[in-house]
Formats: sequence, C-alpha cells, structure tokens
Amino acid sequence: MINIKYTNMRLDKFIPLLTAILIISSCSDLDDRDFADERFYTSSHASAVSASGGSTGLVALDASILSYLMAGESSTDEFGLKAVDIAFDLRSNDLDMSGSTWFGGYHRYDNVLPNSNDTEHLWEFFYRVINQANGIINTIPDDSPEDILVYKYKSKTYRAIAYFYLIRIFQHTNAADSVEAIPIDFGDFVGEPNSTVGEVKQLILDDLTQAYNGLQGYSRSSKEEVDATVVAAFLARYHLTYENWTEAERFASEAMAFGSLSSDVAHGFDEIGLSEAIWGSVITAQTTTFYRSFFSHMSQISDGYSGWNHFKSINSNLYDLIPSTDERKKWFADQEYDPGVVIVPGSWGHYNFTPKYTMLKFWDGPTYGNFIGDYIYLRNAEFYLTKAEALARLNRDTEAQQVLFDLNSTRDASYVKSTSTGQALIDEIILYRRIELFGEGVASFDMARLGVGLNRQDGRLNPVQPGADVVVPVGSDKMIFPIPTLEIDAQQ
Amino acid sequence: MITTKKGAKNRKPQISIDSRYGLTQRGAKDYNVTQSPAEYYETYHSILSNSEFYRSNSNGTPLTIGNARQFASTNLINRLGYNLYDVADADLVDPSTGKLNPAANLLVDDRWEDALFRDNANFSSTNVNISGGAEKIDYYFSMGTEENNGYTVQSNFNRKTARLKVNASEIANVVSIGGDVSYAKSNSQFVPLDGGTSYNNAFQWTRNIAPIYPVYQYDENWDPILSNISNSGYAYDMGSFQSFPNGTTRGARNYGQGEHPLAHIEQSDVTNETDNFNTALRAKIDLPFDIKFEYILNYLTEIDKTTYFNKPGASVGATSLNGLLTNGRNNFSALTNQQLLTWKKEFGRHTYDVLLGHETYVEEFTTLSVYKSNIIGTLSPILDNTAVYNSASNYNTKYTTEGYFSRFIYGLDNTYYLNATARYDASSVFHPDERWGLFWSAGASWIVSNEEFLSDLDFINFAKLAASYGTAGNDRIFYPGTGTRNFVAYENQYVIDENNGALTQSLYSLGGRDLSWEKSTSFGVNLEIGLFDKVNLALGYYSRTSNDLLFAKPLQPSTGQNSRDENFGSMKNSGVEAEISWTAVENEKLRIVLNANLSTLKNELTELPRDSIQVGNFRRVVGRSAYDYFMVESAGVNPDNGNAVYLTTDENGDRVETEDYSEAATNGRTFINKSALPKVNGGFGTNIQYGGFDLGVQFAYQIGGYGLDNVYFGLLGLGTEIENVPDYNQTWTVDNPTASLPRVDPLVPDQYRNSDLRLTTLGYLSLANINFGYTFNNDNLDKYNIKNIRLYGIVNNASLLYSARQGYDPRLNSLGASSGEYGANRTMSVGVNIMFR
Repeated sequence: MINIKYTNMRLDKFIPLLTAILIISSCSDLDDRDFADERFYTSSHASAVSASGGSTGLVALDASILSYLMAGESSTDEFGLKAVDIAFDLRSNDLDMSGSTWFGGYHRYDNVLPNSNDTEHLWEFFYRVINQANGIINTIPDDSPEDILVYKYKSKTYRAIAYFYLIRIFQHTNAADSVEAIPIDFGDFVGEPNSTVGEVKQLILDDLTQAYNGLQGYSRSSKEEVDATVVAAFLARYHLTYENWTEAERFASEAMAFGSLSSDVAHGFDEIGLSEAIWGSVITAQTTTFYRSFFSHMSQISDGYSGWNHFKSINSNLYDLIPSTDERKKWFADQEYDPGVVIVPGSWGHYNFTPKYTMLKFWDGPTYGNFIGDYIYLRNAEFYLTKAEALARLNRDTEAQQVLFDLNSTRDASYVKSTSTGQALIDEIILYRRIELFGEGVASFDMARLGVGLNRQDGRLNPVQPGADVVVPVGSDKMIFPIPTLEIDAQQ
Repeated sequence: MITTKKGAKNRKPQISIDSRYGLTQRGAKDYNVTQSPAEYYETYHSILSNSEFYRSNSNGTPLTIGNARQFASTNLINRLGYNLYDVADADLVDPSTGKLNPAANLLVDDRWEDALFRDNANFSSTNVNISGGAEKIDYYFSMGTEENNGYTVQSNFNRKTARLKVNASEIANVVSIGGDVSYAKSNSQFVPLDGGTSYNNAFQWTRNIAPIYPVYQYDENWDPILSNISNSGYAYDMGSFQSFPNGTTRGARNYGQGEHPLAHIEQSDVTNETDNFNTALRAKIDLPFDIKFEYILNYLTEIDKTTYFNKPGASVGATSLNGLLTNGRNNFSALTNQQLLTWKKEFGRHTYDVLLGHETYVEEFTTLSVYKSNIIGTLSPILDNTAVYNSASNYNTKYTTEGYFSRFIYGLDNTYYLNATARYDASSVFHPDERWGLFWSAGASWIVSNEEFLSDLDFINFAKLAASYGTAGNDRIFYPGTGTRNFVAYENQYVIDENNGALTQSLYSLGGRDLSWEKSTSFGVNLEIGLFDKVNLALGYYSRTSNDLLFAKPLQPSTGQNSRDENFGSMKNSGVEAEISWTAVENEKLRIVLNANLSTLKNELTELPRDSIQVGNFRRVVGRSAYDYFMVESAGVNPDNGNAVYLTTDENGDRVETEDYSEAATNGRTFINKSALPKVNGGFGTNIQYGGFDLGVQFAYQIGGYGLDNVYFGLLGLGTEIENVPDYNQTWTVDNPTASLPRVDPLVPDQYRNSDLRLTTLGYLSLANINFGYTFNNDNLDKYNIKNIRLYGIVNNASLLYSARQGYDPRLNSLGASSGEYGANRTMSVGVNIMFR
C-alpha cells in the first residue's frame, strides 16, 4: 500500500472509488451501431434487411415511385402527375382560370424562366422519378427470377413516362432528332451532358418496348400498379405523338380494350373502380394531401381552391361546339347559378355563385372538403380517340368513323356516325379529344404535336384571369420550358 | 457550463432579491406601406391606370392616360373586391384627379395590427439567491420565476428555475467534490407557425395585406356580423365571397382567401412544456508527486411535451375534419464523462502545468408524436378525445464522440509562457475508417510589462503579447436544405412511408463514405495593454484557413438529388479585432468609462475542385469570397414606359440592355462586385456612475456588405393578388417618369424579378441597450438588515437608428436576405434589487 506522507490516511480507501469511476466513464460506445438510433433508414440497414431474404425493399422502392407520382412535393401546386396535368391544361386553349392563385403562372405563361420555381419543379419531379427507377433497374440483374424482373420492367415504364414528359416539356415536340435536348441519367449521381432528342426518344421507346414484352405474363393486383396495358397506353401516346400511325393504332386498340366505356359521365372521375380507368391511384384519408390535391384545384363542387377565389372554366368557344344533346356538355355550367344551388345531381351546393362555363367535370365525395377522390391517370376513352385518329391518318376512314361512333354514342344518344373523311374527319376526332379529355392533361401536348398555337384573344366569354389573355405562336420559346439554371450551373 | 455564481468559504449568508417588470414593443418600423384605405384606393387606382395604359400601348390599341384612368375607376372594386365607402364602386376614385371622392365616407376601418398584437405585452420576473459558506464548504442557491406575455396576441412564456451548487474540499485531506444541480420548467404558448412565410405569420400578414380588407365580417350595411367563436364576438372575415339577402354581393378578398391569422391564433393551441434538468458532478483526488486526478460527469436532459391543436374554427381544413390534434413527446439527453490528470509545479523560475484527459460524449434524442382529427369539444386537447387516426411519427438519434487530449504550459519568471495542446478525436458522424482526427496547437505569450526595460515607463500598467497557431475540427453536417444535423453522414438515407397501406422507401440524402473532419488552421496574434491606469487596449489579428470544407456540393438536379456532402475546397477568413476602454473621469463622486470595439472579416476561397460553383445568388470561385453575388444586373428604368431594364451579354460578349428578364437570367448573370459579408462591425458605449446613480448606454454598428431585400421588392413586384405597396411615390408612373424604380404592374411580372436592384447595404447603427439605476446605500437600511437597494431600468434593443431603408433590418438575417421574419422586439423594464446582509 502506498502511504501518502502528508496525509494521515491511506489511499487504498479511494482505490474502489477510482476503479468505479474508471469503469463507469471509460466505456465508449462509439462503434456500436444500432439501427434503432438512426433518423432515417440507412443503406446498411437496408442491406441488412435484404440479407434476411424477401423482396420487401424492392417492393417499397417501387411503391415509393407510385406514391411520388401521386403526391409529389410539398408545395400546394406540386402534387405529382395530376398537378402536371392541371398545369399543362392551363397552358392550352381549352381550360381557363378566372383569378390568380396556384398554377396562375402556367396560365399566364410567365413562369417560363430558367429560374422559376415551376421550371425547377417540373425538372426535379420527373428526374427524381427517373432516379428512383434507375435505382431499381440498376440493382436487378437480367437473369433474376421473373417475379423480381417484373420490378425492373415497371421501373422502365416509370422512367419512360418521366422522359416522355420531360422531352415534350423542355423541347419542341416536332424538334428534329439531332437537336440537343436533355440529359439521360444513369442513377450514379454523377451528372450527364444533354443528349439529343433522338437519343431520348429511343430510350423511351426501348424502355416501353422492353417493359411491354417483359410484363406480358404479369397480372397486377390492382389498377394502382403498372402492367402491359398501361405500357401499351403509353406506347400509343408515344406513337401518336411521333406520328407512327400503325403502331399508335395497334397499341391504342389494346389500351381501349381494357374495361369498358361508362354511360354515366357525371360521376366526377374520382374512383379508379370506374370501368374506364386503366391506371390510377387510390386516395385514402391517410394518403390525401387535402387542399394540395387535384380535386381541390379542379373542382368547385369539392370546395377546395377552385371556387374560393377563382373559377376554372372551359373556353366558351369550345363549349359552343359541344352538341346540346351530348352529356359531356353537362361537365360545364350552362348558366350562372346562385350560391347553394346543387348543379350536378348527387353533389351539393357551393356558398359561392357559379359563373357560366365553370367546369363541373371533376368532383369527389362522399362529402365536400375531404379530398379522398382517387386519381385517374389513364382512361380507355382516350385510346378510342387515339385509335380513331391513327386510322384516319392511315386513310382508314370507315373504321375511324366507327371507333369514334363507339365512344360518342355512349355520351350522346343522338350522335350520328360521322360521314366526314380526310382532314375533316381528323378535325372532328381532334375536337372530341378536346371535349372528352378536357382537364386530363392532354390538351397542350396535343397542341404541340398538332402545331396549334395559343390564342386567348379569340373572343371567349368565360372568365380569364387578368394577364392571361395572351397569344403564343407555334414554335415560340414560351411553348417549352428552358432547362433550369440550377442544372446548367452544376453541369461542368 | 461555466458560471461565476458561487458561494465563498467562511462567509456569512448573503441573500439577494431581484424583481422586474417590463413591456415588449416592436423594435423597428416596418416598410413604408400605405396605412389607410383612402391611400390604398388611390395608390391602386394609379397602379391600375398605369398598367392599363402600358398594356393598351403594347397591344397596339393605345388608350390615352385619361381613358386608362377611367378604366381604373370603373374596374377598381372589381379587382379589389371591397368598397369600404358609401359611394358607388365606380365613383370611389375620381378618374380626372386620381383622388378619393371627397363626398365618400369610410364605413369600417379595422386594423389588423390592433387585432394581432398586444399594446401592453408585459413580462415580469423575480429571482432570489442565497450564498455563503463555512470552512471547507461553500454553497449557492437560487430560485426564479418569469412570466412573459408576447407581443403577438396569445403568445406567452413562463418559466421557473431552481439551482443548488455545493463544493466541499479537503475531505480526508485529499479529496474535493462539487455538485451543481439545476432545474427549469417552462411553459410556452406559441403563435401557430410563427416566423414562416405562411399566411399565418402575423407580421407578414399585417405588412402585406392591403388596408382595405377588414379583420371582421360585415353585412350589406357594414354592420358587424356576430359570432360566438371568436374572442371578440365578431365573425372573422375569411375573405370569402358574400351574397346578401338584398341581392348585393361582396368580395371575394383577393388576398389569402380562406386564411385569417387571428382566427388561426385564437382557434389554435400550440404549447410546449419543457423540463430541463442539468447535473454537473466532479471529484478530485490528490495523488503523489503533485498529480491530481479529476473526474467530471455532466448530464443534461430535456423533456418536451408539445401540443399542436387546431380547433375546428382555425381553418377550412380544420373545419372539415372537425379539429386537428398533434401531441408529441421529445426527450433529449447529453452525457459527458471526463477523466483528467493534472500536474502543476513550480521549480524556482519555472512553472509547469500539464493536463492529460479522456472524454466521451453521448447525445441521444427520441421523439414520438401522433396526429389525429375529429375531436369532442375544444376544451381538452388530448388524443383520447379524438376519433380519427391520421399519422404518427417516432425516431431516435444518437451522436457520440470520444477524445484524448493533452495540454502543456511552461512558464518562466511569470513572464514567458509556452503552451501546446494535442487532441485525438472521433465522431460517430463519419465512417469508422474516417472517424479519427488529430488536432494540435502551439502558442507563446510574453508579459512585456514584467521586463526591466519597461520598468521606467510607469504609464504602462500591463502589456502582454501572445501568438498562437493550431488546428481544429468540425463534424457538423446538415441534411440538404435544413438545419438538422446528419449523424450518419456516411450512408445513403431513405424515408420510409406508406402508399395506401404499402411500404414505400425513397432516397432522402446521399451519404459520403469518405467524409471526414473539416480542418481549420488558425493563426492569431494578440496584444493587451493597460495604460495610465485609465486605458485598456486589446488588438488582435487572426487568420483561419479551413481545409476539406464540409460542403454540400451542388449536383445536377437531373441526377435526382440537388447536392451531396463532400470535403471540398479551402477557404481563408482573416481580420483584425480591436477593443478599447477608457476611464475618462474617475473621482469620488463621478466615474465615466467609454468603450469601443470593432472587428473586420475578409473571406477568400483558396481552392475549389471546380472552376465555379453557384449556390443561390452566390458564385464561388477561387480568389473571391464565398459570398460574392453573381446574379442578374439591373439597368434601371425605361423612362418612356417604366419598364424594368436588365443587362445581358450578347454573342460578342458585350453587355447590352434588355427588357426580357428571361434573356438576362439565361445569358446575363454576372459578378456584381458586391458581397454579403459586412466589412466591419462593432459597438461603442459608456458607463457613468455619479453618486448612487449609474447609467450605461451601448450602441452597435455594422459597415459594408449587401443583402437582398426580398420582402420590399416582393411587395413592389405584386402580382394580380392584391397586396400592400411600399414607397409607391418612388416608382415610375406617367406623372413621375424620372422615378428610380420600375412601374408597379400586376400584369408584368418581369418588373421586379430577382436582380441586384434588391441588394441593399447591410450597414446599420442601433442603440442596443440602455440601463440606469440608483443604489440606496445608507445606514437607515441597516436596521432592516438590508445592505443596499438598487432601483433600475433597462431598455434592450432600444432603437434601430439607421438602416438603408425603413423596414429593412440587417440584424435579422446573417446574410441580410429579408424574409418574413418576426421583427426584433424592444423590451423596457424597471426593477428592484435588494441585498440583505
């Protein structure tokens, strides 16, 4: 024992204390990783879960893409694919809003800037889909079992859909294949230079073709998932856009064969159970994004943004072209209504008045203000029109007339099969595309492929917000969005 | 925690009571926006006239300005929605004069600031402490209470604190122990979503809303509509379209429709109850050979109970779901363990001071919250009173560091000192292979005034010269675009969520396997001098070079992510610091001390892995500062039509004017040669004592640097949504064609886009605080056992005496970019402090 000279006691009394202190305090758990102590799910956690077997991770990665397509980002006008539908229909000749609120910049064309929030969102939204899809595509070897490969084909579909939007948003639809367009990314977070229009189109076609073939044996469990019919629908859109009429006709035939046309056109398009719905997303009380949602912005009846401070309405010139016997005319207010009037049977009144031409096509129940209406991304009616147009372009007018009749006769009991031929028949089909697909995200992309400019100074009578009475000629820089400054600055 | 509050051995107990009461006010004026309905109607009439005049001209169907003014009179209420006067809409503003109809009478004049802010936002506090000691033991005990009613209605804060500190020494001759235990409990009631850019930000709302939109709802005769929901008894005006029984209609309000910050505040309960417990314990043992072993344990824990309750009346969303309730529980703890060995020794002229230590730090956080809706009544915001489950969240984080450290100080003749330190630290933020970093420092100091050759210079009381050189580490990495620390920065991280019941997994942030410590190397020289027993002067120069910066490197968004953290580049910060205090007068009655200080900052990037990196409005290139603006350059106003003119670069590289903002944003961005870093900041002040009176006044200032005044220019760049307008008389109109600011035009959004027009100097001068008091110190108090009584007053953040623009407060944001911040508050209080013997 050590004696301490200048004390009258022995240190050994303190040795237990010292020992205890050293034991308590010198334990360091620096290298002990516990997955319970992480803010987010880490890659090593994911690896450990994968190593324990099953395809939970893959299923979750796939579902996150569907969820992202539905819910998008947190801003009120960035709720995924349906928000893009609204944005681009507001850039068309057909849909107007009466006052400025969310999406107003699209309607006025004044967000077409390299540094606007909307430009950045459109770019980042679709490239995030591509990145998530690449993450799945890159991790599944081609010799994987069939039930795993399905996820690879699904992701190729998502990737193709995203590039198909991007190439038409950031470059003119009729641009030559050699024109510089947008980057093709590989999911490695490196960053790529711009590819050409032709390269991007080829990637879309390759992805869709592989997915179409790969998903032939796959049977989906719900309309929320992607299968060969969904891929066929996008192949029909692709070929219609790039004028491969034979292919467009072929894939449209397949897509339109899904489900059946419904004679009830006043139900609000809020259930993917609808016999016309090919692909969509179920919205529940848990997954609703409330006022940041399609029905909030598109339905005055549902008591969201539309009807609070602005109305969304149809170009009165288009309205006037809808036959009075056509049920689809009821998608729009035929006169101004006082507050509280129930305009669409089965719905309810709004505290605001309802101007003539106000859109009533979309609404969700069971009551207003809960926003649990499903999103429909693809509807079979579109592909009747696609097939009809492709047939007409192929000079198969009789068949085209019949396909158009098959659709329109479910909407208008008095509809008489068209006897038009040639361009007149094509024009009639295009008119019914504008009517049938009103508010479903097709109109401005149709304008681009058909070479139609924007003209809001056409004497329309429906309310148009100040600043949106613009004329934008075909081929104008305003017709597409510029690549964001954020992308160009980082592109080195 | 370092504290100077402690007892003293062998001292009689001393008791002190301090009590104070005060008021909170807005500390700086807002922007010069229109204040009255009349002013706003006239302003908007002019905006509409000039907008229509420009529009008709650019359409090729020109109107005369007279016709445009007639258009404005006709359409004014159609655009604004509300006519607060008793004349017909089209007769409100006279098109020939642009003035309000003199026959018109104002029918309602609600003030949002009266509804949203308290006139008498008061606070009070009382603290009692007792200190003293006996042989080998000393103690300090305190208790306090504080109550604070915030400037915004319904916000308040109260806190109770208690602390006990005891030290005992020479236990069994070789052991000393100490303990410092404190507890605080606070209850806060917040204003929902305060400070953000949402419509519920009360400051932003009162600034932005045009003064023609009332707080409360009125019927067709402008009589208030009653309500049993609001605190005032009047119905909130949510801005909805109204149709009245007599067939007339009003609105909708063309601003923040469906929003009402007062309704949101009154119909919400946002509270936080916090328990803080802090323990510091230490034990020290004398070992042989003058070595001491010390063990220190510090444990800090905070428990939060949070409630976010929107009653059904708070918003349209809350109405439709019959109330929204989120209750949360957070628990934070931090445990530090230190073991120190120290050795201090004097050998004649030589002194040695050596320390060896080891430290571990573990910080843990856990949170749980549940969100439900549809509540029974509004009286008790607990989850069991609700029907519908919406969502829940729970996660934990853990952050651990470990370090070995040492310090060595050598002194000679109490005049020359050398010191050296070394640390070897690990952080759990980094991958196990990259975790450890070695840091060191060396320094020397010289007490010059101890030298013989200065002994003749009596006026030098003290002089010390010191120099140091060393390295330090930084492991602070944040999730992209947030202020939340990333504790697993070396891994990719994913968000797990649901899609209609199915699991989803999506990438949230990219990890960096190679990330490691950011290392900074500092060099500093300091001189401290005391002269004439009156002047104390401190001068310093520092230069700090940071290498392997922890930097969120921008990625092309087409990769799916916007940034990735990397150790990336080098940067140098340098500057001088000076501080002086001068006792100008000192005699038995009067003492006056003046003080001043300044510091400068120069920042320079010295190495980057790429030629340039754009981060927001800043472009990083080697040789410039990290905060040099690279953005669109304004070229003023087109005097013919009031259009904003920008500069762009043409194919030949020449700078040319354009009115096309998109062109300027695409091709015209340039270095503006302005930086967001102030060149100098500091303060000055005085302390005066005269008899029992004392007075202290302190100023603060800043010189140089530029910030983006986004709020001001955002208001001028109003769109078709109706907002208030600042300084309208400085903008171009047909009548004011030489104005320096572009035409305010709701239909032409390029007028006030982001450009260097927004850059506003960060210079300011503020009267930071004033305190004054009188101390009674006479014998009559003795019989009450009172040593002295001090009555005092304090004004904090007294006044912003100068800033570049009324309403722009450079102090609110480090880089000066204004957003919807809550303004700085001025507090004024009076108090009494009694010391008992």
